[in-house]
Amino acid sequence: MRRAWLWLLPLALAGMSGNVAGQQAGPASPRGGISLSPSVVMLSGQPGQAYRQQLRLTNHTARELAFRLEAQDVVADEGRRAFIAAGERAGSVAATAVFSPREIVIAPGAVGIAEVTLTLPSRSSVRGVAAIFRGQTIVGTDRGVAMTASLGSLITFTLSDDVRLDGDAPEVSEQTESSNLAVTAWVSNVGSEPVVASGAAAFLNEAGALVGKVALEPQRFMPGERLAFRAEYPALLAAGRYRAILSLEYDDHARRVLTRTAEFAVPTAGGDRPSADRGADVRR
Amino acid sequence: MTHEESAVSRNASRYRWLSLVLGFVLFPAPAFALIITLSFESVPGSVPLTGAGTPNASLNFGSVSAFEPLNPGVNRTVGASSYTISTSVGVRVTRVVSLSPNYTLQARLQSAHPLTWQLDGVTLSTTPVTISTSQPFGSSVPHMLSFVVPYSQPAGAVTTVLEVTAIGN
Repeated sequence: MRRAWLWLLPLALAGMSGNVAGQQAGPASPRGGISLSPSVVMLSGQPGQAYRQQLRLTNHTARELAFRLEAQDVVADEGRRAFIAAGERAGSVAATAVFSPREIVIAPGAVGIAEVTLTLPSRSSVRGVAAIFRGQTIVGTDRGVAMTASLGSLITFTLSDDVRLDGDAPEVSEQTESSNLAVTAWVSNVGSEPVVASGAAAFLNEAGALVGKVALEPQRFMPGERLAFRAEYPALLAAGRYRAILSLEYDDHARRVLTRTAEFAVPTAGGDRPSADRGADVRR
Repeated sequence: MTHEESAVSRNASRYRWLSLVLGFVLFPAPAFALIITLSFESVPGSVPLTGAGTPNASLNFGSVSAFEPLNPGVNRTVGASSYTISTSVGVRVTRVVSLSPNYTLQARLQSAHPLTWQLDGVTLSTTPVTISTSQPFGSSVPHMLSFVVPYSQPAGAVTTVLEVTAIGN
């Protein structure tokens, strides 16, 4: 019974988020832009399954706008995120995309709704698709450059428990008169599923006491993607030896944690330059 | 396990499945309002946009040549066989209750063009190309739009359509 009530939680959250969106539609809303919801969809399932997702594009302008819908595969090539045309890669999920409708005209102030159905091919390594509303309305082409805006939703799929991150030893950049001390760790998604990781960097002094903590903004990794987490200590550190501990939490189910440490010294003013004695230790 | 316990367990299991099915029917995807918006903005010191603040803007470089004076906000670099004309355009992408930390910016020309067009130094074609994978939400980010004119280029109007796409990361 209690578990059944858990399903009311999304209802409450949906209501809350709707209110937030409603508030944003006031002065902070786009004066005349376009908005897309949802911008990110995270799905779980099995190979061979089909998914249908509704996408809503709002036209905040005073002009009728036309869009054509298109899908791209979202992958990582050599550690960097890449968007590949449908069908160009083996196991393309974008190639299975069926949009209904394929083209849409949205009146001023109205919301255009389209559905995309995606089928996950067996043994595909692709775990992301961008469903894009491509702007077709052109204004002012007689002289110069006309610009038209498009928006895309990122749809990710998790199909297994192979959720793994790995990280390099952090690098420490010294504090100067004009810049704070920063710790940067490059992290790679070495699993086969998309991952969202976030966490914090803790700074400890020589005695092991906490002197400060900096939040690390969440980042999404496609399989094979490599991104940097950077923690900048917001104040001037006094001379001494320190240890920075970067902890990244990921995988909502297993609650895994990736930890990397870096030891470094801050010299007295006008003294020796700081040395970064880096170490790494993994806890999963 | 007694017969009674087994029946209770079966009922609980059935209820759990029912609630699960109901949940997926009502919320097939995470039920968060994840919204991103896009508009073009003028950049101070650059060519002003007509339609700034909207998703359909335009800009006019005016008359350009290798050596004649240019309109305010237009920049020129002169090379051995060509010259490059540039200005900045702003792209503002905002988010509302979004889990995306930043966004990817893509661009393309809607039709093939005889001149070379670039956005932030990335050459554009009719195929979408990624300009940046980690653009910050909220502020208007200036991007350098440029085109290369060979000295052999005959005089005439230059027009093109630039499509800019934002995708949440």
